[in-house]
Order: sequence, then C-alpha cells, then structure tokens
Amino acid sequence: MNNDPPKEMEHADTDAIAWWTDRARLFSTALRAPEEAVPPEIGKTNNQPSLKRFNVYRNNVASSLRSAMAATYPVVEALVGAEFFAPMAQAYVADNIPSSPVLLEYGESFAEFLERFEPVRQLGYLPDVARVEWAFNESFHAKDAEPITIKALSALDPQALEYVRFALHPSLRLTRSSWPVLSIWQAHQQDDPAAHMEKIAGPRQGEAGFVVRPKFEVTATIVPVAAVDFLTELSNGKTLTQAADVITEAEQADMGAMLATLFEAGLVAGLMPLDNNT
Amino acid sequence: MPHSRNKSPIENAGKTTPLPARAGVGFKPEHFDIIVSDQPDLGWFEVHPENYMGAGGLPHHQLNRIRERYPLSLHGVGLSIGGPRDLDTHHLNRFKKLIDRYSPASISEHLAWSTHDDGHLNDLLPLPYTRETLDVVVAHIDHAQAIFNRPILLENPATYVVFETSTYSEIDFLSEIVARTGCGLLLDVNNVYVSCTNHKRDAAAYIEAFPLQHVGEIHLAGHAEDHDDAGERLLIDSHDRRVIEEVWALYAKTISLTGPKPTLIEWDEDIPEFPVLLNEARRAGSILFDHQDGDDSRQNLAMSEQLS
Repeated sequence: MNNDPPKEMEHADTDAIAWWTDRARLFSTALRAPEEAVPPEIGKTNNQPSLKRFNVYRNNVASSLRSAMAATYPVVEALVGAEFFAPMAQAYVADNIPSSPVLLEYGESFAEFLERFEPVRQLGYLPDVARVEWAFNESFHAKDAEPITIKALSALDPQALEYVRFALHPSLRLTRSSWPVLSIWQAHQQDDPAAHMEKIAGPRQGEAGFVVRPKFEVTATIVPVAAVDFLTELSNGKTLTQAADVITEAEQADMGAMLATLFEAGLVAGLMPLDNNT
Repeated sequence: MPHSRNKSPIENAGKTTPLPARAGVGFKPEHFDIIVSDQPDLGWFEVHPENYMGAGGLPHHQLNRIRERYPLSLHGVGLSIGGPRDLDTHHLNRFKKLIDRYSPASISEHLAWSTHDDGHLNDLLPLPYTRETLDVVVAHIDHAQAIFNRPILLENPATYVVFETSTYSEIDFLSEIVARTGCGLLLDVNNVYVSCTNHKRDAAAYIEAFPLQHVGEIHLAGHAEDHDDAGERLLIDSHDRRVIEEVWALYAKTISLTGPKPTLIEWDEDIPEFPVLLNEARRAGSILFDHQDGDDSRQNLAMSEQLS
C-alpha cells in the first residue's frame, strides 16, 4: 500500500468520459449482437480481427446469465428439460439484461416472457410455475424474522382481538393459480419428481397457497382460496375482523382451524393489537 | 466501527486487520457443512459480495458462521470500475453495508467493466489503456474508496483481446492507478499466465515488472485451453479445474520476489468436493512456507505437512 499523503478525490473530465463512453458502447453493442462484426479497435492476428477471441466475451455474458436463470428456475428447467430450457433462457436473456450486478434479483419477468413465448404456448401452467419459483427466490432472500405462535393471539382480550392487525412474515409470498402449480413445485423438491407428478395428473385443478421461510428453509403450503383472500387482506393492513369479512360465513366458522394452520406455517411475525388507526 | 468520511482511506488502512499471508479458498455453499464440521486449517475465505446482497436467510447465516472462525475477503465482480458510467451509488451502498456487517479483512475489485446503457452484462470486460480510461478508472476507485472509507485492491484482468488504441502497458496503467488512488493490487497469477499466453508475452517478465510492493493478495485458478481463428493458443479463465503446473511455477517465482502473500484458490464452476479444493490450498500453503520466516510460518508449515 503506498503512503502518499491524503488527497482530493479526482473527477474524470468530460472529454475523457465521452471518449470512453463512445467506444464502450460500440463494444457492448457488438457483444449483444452475435451477427455483428468485432469492434474496429480490437487487435488483429494476421491482420484479421479474431472473432473467436471476441466471442469468448459474448459466450461469457450469455452463458453466465443462462446459468443464473437455471439457478432461479430449476423446476421450469426440469419440466421442459435442460436442452429445451437453455435456448429458451437465451431468448429471455437476449432481451432482458440484468439491471444490476446482483443476480439473485435477476429474472423476475420470466413468467411474463413465458406467457408470450410461442414454443411453450401449450404448457399453460409454465408461467405460474415460474411465478412460484420467483416467489421462492424472494422468500429465500427475504429479511429474517422470528415467527410467533398462536398463543400470542389467544392471550389477547376479546376487544383487542377484534382490532388486532398481523405483521406477516417478510418471506411470505401468496399465490393463486388455475393450475396445480404448488403441487408441481412440491413434487420437484422430492427425490423422484416424476412419481409425484403422476399423482397430480388428471382433471385440471387450480391451487391457492403460499411460500414462506420461517427460518432457512422455504416451504410451500396449499390452502383454500379463502385463506389466501384472508391473508391478502391482512397483508394490506386490515384488522382480523375486517379481513374475516372477505370470506363466507361457512369459512368463518372454520376460522380457528385456518388460523392454526397459518400460525403453524410460521407466517405470522407479530401482532399489533394497540393500533389507533382503526 | 464508524469511520469519519473526510479521512483518507490510507489513514484508516491500519485499523483493519489484514488478511493473513496464508492460503484461503472461495467459500461455496455446497461446502458449508464440511467446513463447519471439520474446521479446516485455512487462512481465510473469500466471497463475491453480490451473492450476499439479499436481506436475510441462509446465505447470511452461512457467511456469519464462516466469519466467526475465519478472516473474510469481499471480492466484488459488479462495480464496473473500468466502465464509462459513474459507479452505481445504490450498489456501492449495498457493498458498504456488507463491509459494515462482516468487517472483511480485504476488499477487492477488477480492472474491468460490465455496464451497457442501463444494464449489466455480467462479465469482466476489457478496456483500452489510455489517458482517458485512466482518468475514469481513477475517479471510480476514488469514489469507491470514499464510500468504503478503506483502500481496495484492484485485480489485473484475464484478457482475450487487446485494443489498438491502448497507449499504456497494463503494468504502467496499474502503476498509475496505484499512484493516483492509493489502492493496492490483487495479482492474479493465473490471469497473468492466461493474458500473456493469449497475447504472446512473457509471463515471467510480466511478474518481474509488476509493482509487487503494492500487492495485497494473490489469486490462483484453473483455466481452459482453446485456439483462436488463426490457430493460436487461446486460454480462457474458467475457474473450473486445478491450477496447472506452469501457473504453480509462476506463483512460486512471484512469492520468491514478494515474500508470503495471502493467496486464494478460486474455483467457481464444476465445483469439486471440498478436499480437492483444500489440497490446492495446501499446495499454495507449502510454497508460502518455503518463502517465509515471519509469524505465519508455523501455520503454513502445519498446512504443508497435511499436503497429500
């Protein structure tokens, strides 16, 4: 480390920035267009610019982003096969470069891409499977919080119970689909996904549920649609009473069981019984 | 430990315990269980901070456990220090949060760039070495060091092309950067071998000409071999296999000139079982031991004796 005295921060002059901006754009534009020629300033071998050398960079960009997509969407990859997935991911990558170097946040729009991607048009469930995998990815990296048990709720007096709001776990992601996508996702967490997939085959059935990560492991739970409707209300800051209004009386009759399921899944991180904003 | 912003990074440099002059490896989540159970005798671990910029969960749990037992190096791949655009302040701040959270012994980045318009190309792209790019790189390193309030180490790149517009050699360019920013250097010996082979230069001469007094860390890795359109050797910095003998020889030569330096085995693709990685680190440790007489000698001896 050198021992120069402290100095002022340097700023590059605008001519220097402009000089490099123009050339960097030529380079990166050629990089993203496989049919384009190698940028003119690249050194030559035997008077020829080496396409193969430049292609190392093209390959690095494409293959690293394809790998990132495969890492985030392993179930989609398993459903279509790795050989089909690679060019499909490449088509996505070509039109969607990451907006930041943090690749764990890359690929959110894959489900929308799949909805428009003609070769998988007949796999109607695929976009929603991708949505579950994105929910898993978000849940996996979400902020930590300690789940609370249902005892906290039963400790409240009846009046407080009426106005209580729930702090849902930061890793909770709700899902609704007209396909059995949570069952598909769960099947692919098993050693033999094909055997588990056979059990799902049959008349198409929609599913509602959630993924949550109480500690380190993300779990997917299938629940009645009413429970997801109810959780949606709670996540919007509604009180327990207000949230219960969105579900039918018959469903409300099972409220105790439903709450027990939700608490057991670890998706409640706190209660806010003394909120004055009601 | 809060630092005042108006001090130079150099003044604060001594306040962070540096990496030990021993061998370390890149931490991979696949190896977490065996590391925790075996507590291997390694000098330190390195990670890419971009992989730990999520809010919580398993990655941070694992990194905390590693950090409890070992010194840590944060080796960034996403700052785009060589790019034409201003550094991404949001990304810099996320990086700084990790520095505050894990108190790394070392922070490093690459002499490379990755930005395209509003996007990120996720590779370490090469730049021409000119007065203009030098100004840009210096301003970016100043910016990063001001946010981090510490000096960083800058790594020499593995390159596959050269620019006809370059007016500096890579070594002169790096030396100018060091003189103007006060940063240190991360000497990647495999990158030296890869670049020098690709551009028909003498790797040993590169090492001899390198400003070795500023080297704070050394990297070693495996590379793939191909040929370019003209049939010339084209080596690719793939980090997917063992270090080759020629690179070990170049490393031993480097250490004979610098004395022991913290040395990392990088292995990022086709990740092997942990003992394979550990064995590579032990080999580096034995070379470090051959060239030292300081405090770390006993530990490096212990490592080299376990070399199988």
